[in-house]
Amino acid sequence: MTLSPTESAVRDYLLTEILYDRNLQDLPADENLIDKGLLDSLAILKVVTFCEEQFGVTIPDTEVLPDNMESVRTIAALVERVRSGH
Amino acid sequence: MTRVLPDLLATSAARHGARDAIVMDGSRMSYTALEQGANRLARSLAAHGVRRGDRVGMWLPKSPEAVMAVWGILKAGAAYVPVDPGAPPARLGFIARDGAIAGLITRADRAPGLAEAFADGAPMRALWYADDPAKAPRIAGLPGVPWRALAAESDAPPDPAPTPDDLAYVLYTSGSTGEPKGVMHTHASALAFVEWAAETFAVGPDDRVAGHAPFHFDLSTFDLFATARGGASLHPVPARAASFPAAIAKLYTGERLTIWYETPSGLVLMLTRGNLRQLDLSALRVLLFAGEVMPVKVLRELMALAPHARFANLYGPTETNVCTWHDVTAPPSDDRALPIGRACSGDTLAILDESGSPVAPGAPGELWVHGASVMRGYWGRAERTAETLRPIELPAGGTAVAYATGDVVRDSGDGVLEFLGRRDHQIKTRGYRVELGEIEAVLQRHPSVAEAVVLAIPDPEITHRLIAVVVPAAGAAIDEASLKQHCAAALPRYMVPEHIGARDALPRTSSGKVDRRALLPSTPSGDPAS
Repeated sequence: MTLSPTESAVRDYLLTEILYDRNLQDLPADENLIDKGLLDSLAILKVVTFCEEQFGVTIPDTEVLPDNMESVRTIAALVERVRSGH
Repeated sequence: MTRVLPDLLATSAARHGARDAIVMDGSRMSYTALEQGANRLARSLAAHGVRRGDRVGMWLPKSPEAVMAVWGILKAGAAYVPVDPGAPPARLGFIARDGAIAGLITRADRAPGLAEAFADGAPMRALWYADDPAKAPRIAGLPGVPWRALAAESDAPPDPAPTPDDLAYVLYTSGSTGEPKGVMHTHASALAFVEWAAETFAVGPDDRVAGHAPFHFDLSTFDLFATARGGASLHPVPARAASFPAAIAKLYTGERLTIWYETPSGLVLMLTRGNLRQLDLSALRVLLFAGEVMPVKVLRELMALAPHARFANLYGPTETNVCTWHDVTAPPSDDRALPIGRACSGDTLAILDESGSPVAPGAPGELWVHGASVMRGYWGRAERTAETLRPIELPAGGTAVAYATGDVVRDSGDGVLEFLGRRDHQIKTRGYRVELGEIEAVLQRHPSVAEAVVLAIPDPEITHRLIAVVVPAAGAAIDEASLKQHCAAALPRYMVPEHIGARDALPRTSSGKVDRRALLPSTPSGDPAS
């Protein structure tokens, strides 16, 4: 499945900086990272900081919730939503 | 009165069985249901050969079933051994073998990890699957019991009941020599703390208690047992929400929880990232914190947000339960570190110098703890136990066995202690206690590494971040990603260094020790404190 540029960037960051014990080929964009226990509190802070710096957005703390952070897809969707101001 | 932990649950079930024991994700379990479910599980454990004095492992996320598992194991007369649900299979396998567990309570959806952990055989006799699979996976050729099978067991308390000196739980903590070690607590040593805490903070049937600490972390014993003693309801934080400060803060305030017991890191994150300032804290009655130094500024802000609540600083290594406490009666007026306070849980304290003699009044020294809440020892490590549990002369006279905490404290007057620091390389990150030596030992097992040093960088939100500096073995190249992968396969996530840099040699002090301070400013991989 093709990824949007935002999804690709999020996925690359997760793979290199967070999920260092996993291989490139096994991170589908819809894979639930939270239920698998792959994102702890520090990892989430790092992902949020990365998105804010990379995409020039400010993600409100109240949006940093499990439903928005559970996969490459939802993280990228959150970035797009914040970027478009909705 | 002689008591054991299951008495707490049985008494609350008899007094108000219809009240909520557990509230989680919108579902509720009454005290009667919890008591009966735990009795059934205890009987199922016994039917598969779990005997009084055995250990039973737990490897599953927080859930009503996990709470029931704790009680069922205790009622069977066994000790529960909770393994970090996020730990890699290798660590589960190590703890299971080290603790010689007789059974394991887990989930069938973890079958791949279970198969990996027990590829070379398993010490237990059976596995119990809390997610109730239609077909129980077969791990290491062992019987698998789906949760629905418990319904066939009687809901009456099993015989024989445990006695106060039986082991109640074994908590594995980071070990400086490269392997985690199991801290053994009995029903009596657990109750010494639980009874004190439940009395002091008047935990009662109208309380709603937060359950954030994972069960392998000793803060959870308050949540589990003081809650049951008071007949209050326990509100476990679902694993899905546990890493999200905003979700936790919303849960605590939305469910109008009355007692929170948190690490300072957890509270800081709720303030800085969790929108806590905008939420309604009117239900909060008691806020307890432990596990790390509480920043005074944060405490002051929390006290301003909940001026009606009682705040207390609790202190104690896993080995002693909580052994001192400081009741914060008014917001601190200056920025001096918050005291760890006075002895509690029936313990006696001594501050000794390196020769084992009491220090002069007000002078710094190592804190030794003697008393009812102190552990029995480290599972299977008689030598390590003998090094840390040693006879000392008590301040009031006489000798007694006490635990050497490794923490340096001073008496600021009237028995109120101040925490000054550590004697060794143990640090805290997100409330977890970490021996830097354990991470170093894992790094040094990698073929490309000749030497490794792990450094703790102070961080305002999570206390410390971890970075590593390694010296490559002759002719080897260092690949940061594969070293992190190597660490993640052996260690819990919070122990994997964020950055691993290479150097040709490590700076040394004049005595030949690695000069950790000299490594800090020139550490590669950018600015870890940002």
